[in-house]
Amino acid sequence: MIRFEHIKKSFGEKVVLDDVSFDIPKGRVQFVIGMSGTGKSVLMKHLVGLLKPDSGDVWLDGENITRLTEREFYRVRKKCGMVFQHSTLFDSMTILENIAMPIRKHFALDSKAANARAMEALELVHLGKEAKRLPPELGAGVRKRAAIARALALKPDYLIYDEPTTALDPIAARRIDGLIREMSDKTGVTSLVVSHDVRSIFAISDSVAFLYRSKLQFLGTPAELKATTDPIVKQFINGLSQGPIT
Amino acid sequence: MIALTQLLGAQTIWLFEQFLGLRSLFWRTVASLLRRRFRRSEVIEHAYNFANKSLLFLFVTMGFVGMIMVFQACFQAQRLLGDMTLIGPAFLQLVIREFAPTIGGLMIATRVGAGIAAEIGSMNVTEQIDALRMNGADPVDHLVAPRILAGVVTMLSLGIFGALFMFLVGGVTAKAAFSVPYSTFFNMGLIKPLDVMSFLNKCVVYGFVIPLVAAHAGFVARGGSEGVGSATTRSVIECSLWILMFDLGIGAFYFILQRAIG
Repeated sequence: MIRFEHIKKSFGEKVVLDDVSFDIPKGRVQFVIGMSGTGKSVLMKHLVGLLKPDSGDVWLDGENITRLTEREFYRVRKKCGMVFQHSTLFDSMTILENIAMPIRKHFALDSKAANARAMEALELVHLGKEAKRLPPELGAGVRKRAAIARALALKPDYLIYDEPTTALDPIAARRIDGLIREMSDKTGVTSLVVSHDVRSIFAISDSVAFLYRSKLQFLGTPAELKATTDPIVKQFINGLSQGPIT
Repeated sequence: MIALTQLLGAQTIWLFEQFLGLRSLFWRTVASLLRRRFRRSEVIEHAYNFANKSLLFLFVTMGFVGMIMVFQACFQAQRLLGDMTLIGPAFLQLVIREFAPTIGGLMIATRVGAGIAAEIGSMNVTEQIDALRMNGADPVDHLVAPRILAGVVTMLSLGIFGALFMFLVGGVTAKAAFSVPYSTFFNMGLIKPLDVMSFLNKCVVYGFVIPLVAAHAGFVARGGSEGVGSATTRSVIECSLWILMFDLGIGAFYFILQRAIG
């Protein structure tokens, strides 16, 4: 289980997260939604030590990971894969090499064993045929699937997706949604999805956290989200230009 | 008055934070180099790229500076002394002590340092450095250590070739414009072992400092393309300042050593 406890984070004078607390039980597809710049990605980066909170604690499977060192975070990063917004595949490496790299680093495997495991992950996201290609030769949707394979290759317990459907066409976006749900059901991985794609939320989420002005505004199921009377949340999910959000 | 004090205070804190960041990167790089956690093939690749990209630019700059310096020196010597026998040896001493490493360093800071800052800065703003960390790879091992070794190799080799070229161009200028015989100009009589030591020392230090400062500028880049642009500018300015500070420090050290030896 993941627990965020009173997380506060500022960059200079800009407060990004202000006393954010909630739990994410295992096995869920948890969405974290909100307007741009409300600290959704910042919150997720606290879980893998890419950022550290100014105050508050982050717990992972009963361990307080807030003050771990960079080296100590390596074992946390084995447990928590991350799919970045821009896929962040290394252009000079083939898709297979991109996926084999974290396996080699985290598990100290030789190239042959790492490649075999990378191939398994590629097959899981239906990209086995693209293994030898370079990222720039592929479309955004395929690159995103390759990035998911890279995160899955470590067989993580938790998988963080940072805006997985942003910049994708609607068909590719729905395919990625399907893949997130499929991976969660197939492997039992807990998925944390940072998004503002309302269609994705209602299609695949088990639970939704809504951040507004650096604070947690709403936490509940998609059905509760749909039924909410909170005018701020309603305006966001209905995409209205008029309302309390300015 | 209060606003000015606040501004100065904020700038001082910022400078101090930057210095601490640079110091931390320095020690992490030293640790990475000592533990040999980088790939040798990357060192060779970077050294090849740095040296090739800078060669023509460096030779053109060194050539022009050599021509200008010798021309002015010969002109003044002819006007005031009428004797140009010491121009060549004194010029070579100046090239080895100062011009070749320092002008070379400034040129490499512009050419290579800016490139490193832009590359690491754009990796930073597109989260590729975060991706490296998530992959279990230390960005210092992958991005900084190989570039620093490559920087030292590049600075040493380009420094030597740059010095030779500058001296050669100076000799041709002296001969063409003032009829100074080659046998008079190309005289190494004034060069002492400490001059060569100072030259090598400066090349090694600049070769280390340029990629270090440039990488740090890249690591602290924020925002999008604007942040990358700022990192590049900042890298050139900071590298140049560090080079000039080390130039003074190393120069003063060898001067004192020379006097102590006698």
